Order: sequence, then C-alpha cells, then structure tokens
Amino acid sequence: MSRVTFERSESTSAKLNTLARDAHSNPYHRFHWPAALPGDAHWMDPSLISLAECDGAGELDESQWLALNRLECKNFFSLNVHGIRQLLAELIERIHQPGWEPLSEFFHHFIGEENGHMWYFAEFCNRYSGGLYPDMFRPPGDPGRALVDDCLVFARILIFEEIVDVWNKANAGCPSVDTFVRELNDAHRQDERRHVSFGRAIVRDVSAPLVEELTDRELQDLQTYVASYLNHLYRSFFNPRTYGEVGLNQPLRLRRLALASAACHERFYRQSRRVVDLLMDVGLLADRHFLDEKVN
Amino acid sequence: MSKEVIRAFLEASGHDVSAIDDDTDLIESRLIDSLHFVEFVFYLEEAAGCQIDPRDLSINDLRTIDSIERKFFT
Repeated sequence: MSRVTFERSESTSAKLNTLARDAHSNPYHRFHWPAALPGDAHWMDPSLISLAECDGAGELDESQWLALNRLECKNFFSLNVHGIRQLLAELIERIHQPGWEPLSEFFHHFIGEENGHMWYFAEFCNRYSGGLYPDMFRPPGDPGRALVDDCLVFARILIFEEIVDVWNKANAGCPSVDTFVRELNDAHRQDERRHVSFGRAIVRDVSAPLVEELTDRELQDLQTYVASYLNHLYRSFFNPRTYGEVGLNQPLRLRRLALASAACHERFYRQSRRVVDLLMDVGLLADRHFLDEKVN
Repeated sequence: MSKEVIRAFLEASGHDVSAIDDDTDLIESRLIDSLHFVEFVFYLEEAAGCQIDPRDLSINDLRTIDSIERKFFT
C-alpha cells in the first residue's frame, strides 16, 4: 500500500462522509412494502430487457414479455445481491488494515449502505418473486498480487455500480414500471451516487502507481482481465433461466443469439460508456470495443 | 465422446487441447477461470441435456476432464 497515495479518494471521501451522515436512513423502515404488486405493471424499463432489439424476440407473445420483464427484474436484483455480497467481503478485508486508515470512515458508510441495499433487493425477490436466482455469475479469482488486487477490487466495484446505476436510472424514470419498483431503484441511486464518486476517485488513485510499475506484458494482462470482467458482466444480464421459465425453447441457443447481436452490443456500449471512458483514461482498458464477438 | 465435447469448449476458448490430458487440473492451470465458469456450466447443460444448479457443484467436479465426465456424462 505504500506506493498508493489517496490524493483524490481521501478528499472525495471526506465530503462524502458528511453527505452520507446527512442522508442516512434506516432501510428496514424506509419503504412501505405492498402486500402484492399489480399484475399488469412492468418491473423493468422494457428497453433494458435482454431480448429487446434481438432477433429471437419475435418468439414471445405479450404475456411472455411481461413475465420475462419481471423475471429479468428478479435477475437484476439477484445480481445486485450477489455482487454486493462479494464487494462487501472485499471491503471488509481492507477496513482498518494498514494503509487503508484514511478511508475507514467512508468504508463504514459504504458497508452499511450496501448492506441495506442487499437487504431490500433480496426482500423484494423473496416477497414477490419466489426468492433470488442463485449466484451463477461468479467474479474472477485472485489475480495474485496485492497492488493488482487492490486496483481490480475497486475497478470491479466501480464498473458494477456505474452500470447498475444506468439501469436504476432507466427503471426509476420509466412510467410503465410499477411505482414501488421505481421507488426502490431511485433509493438505490441516491446512495450509489456517493459510492460512484468515491469509486472514480479511488480507481484513479490505485491505478496510477500500478500502471506505471507494470511491464508492458503485465499491463496487457491486466487490461485483458478488465475486458473479461466487462464481458462477464454483460453476459450476466442474459440469464437463460428466465427464458426457460417463460416457456421459450432452447434458452441457451437464444442466449447465444442475443449475446452476439449487434443491437445488444451497442446497448451495452451505451450503458457502460461513462465507466469505460474512465478505464481507458487511467489505462486499465485498451480497447473500448471490448465485447467478445464469438460466444461459445 | 463426452471428453471430446469438453475439449471442444476448451479449444473454442483458445487453448491448445493437445497439451491437455484427461487428468490435467483445469482450474489450477487456469484453463477454466471464474469469468468463464458460468459459460462452461451452460455449455455442459446443453451437452448433457440437464439443468445444473451451481449450488450443487463442487469445484472438484469441474477440476479435470475425467471428473467432469464422471459428474455429468455417466
């Protein structure tokens, strides 16, 4: 940790600590949970549905579109729960450890807020959608070097949060989405704004010494890894379980078609543009067209 | 036959399958990493014709071509 200076993240977190104290609310009392949600409302902005704009979408009738919309909301919330659990484990490994002291208070806010998010997304799935999807989309393993690990932990958190924020924003602002689901998405955004601000600062702090220190080959490996993570996240939004549950044939074939479709690629490039700009700027990504053309 | 199916995935992922034995540790040698883990599971589902619950899997089930064959194709 001695080579990292928290120049940006320390000053950013000092401001965010104050905002987090002022914005603090109890997630367990924050929402009025309806006994049931109306049967005809969307739970997701229809433009976010994995098969929207995809050739295979012609196979769905109106009731299947609605069922898929709700199951993909369940998938989105499940991804949040599993993603948060993993990032909390990473942060808890670092809080109050040597070198990380300047950021400890912010980590406390972050951990507390993310714990609340994990609870309400899981609660939604348990109340209205038969529980969470299992953790199919595991994060990458240990790349094996402390400085690389630190950089990738915060890069992964930022990538995940920036893209989720795009989805939350679309859902919160979509008039056809159920009011309560919009409220959940909006509540998540309010906390995530602070997390994203911090994430952008710390990714710059931890990547700067690393990019300077690595050999060309090592940097290339790191960039490949970041590109793989982006591909991994892209694919996690296409859950074949949802296709099977709405009665579509050959869900894995359909998933491959959707994953490879130019329209789906373009949509994800739009959704990830902001974080990709930063990753390119700090040198953690070599090519902004990072999605694999070929899907096994 | 099932071993060839497994090798086909590894080959399509860019690995030289001639250097991979039936007992090569696919995890340790990073031939299957966690980013590609789920794609591999979906591929096995399709090849074996069954749905796989990741909660029922141990990492050792996927460690070698032999162990994958035992778990999903016998």
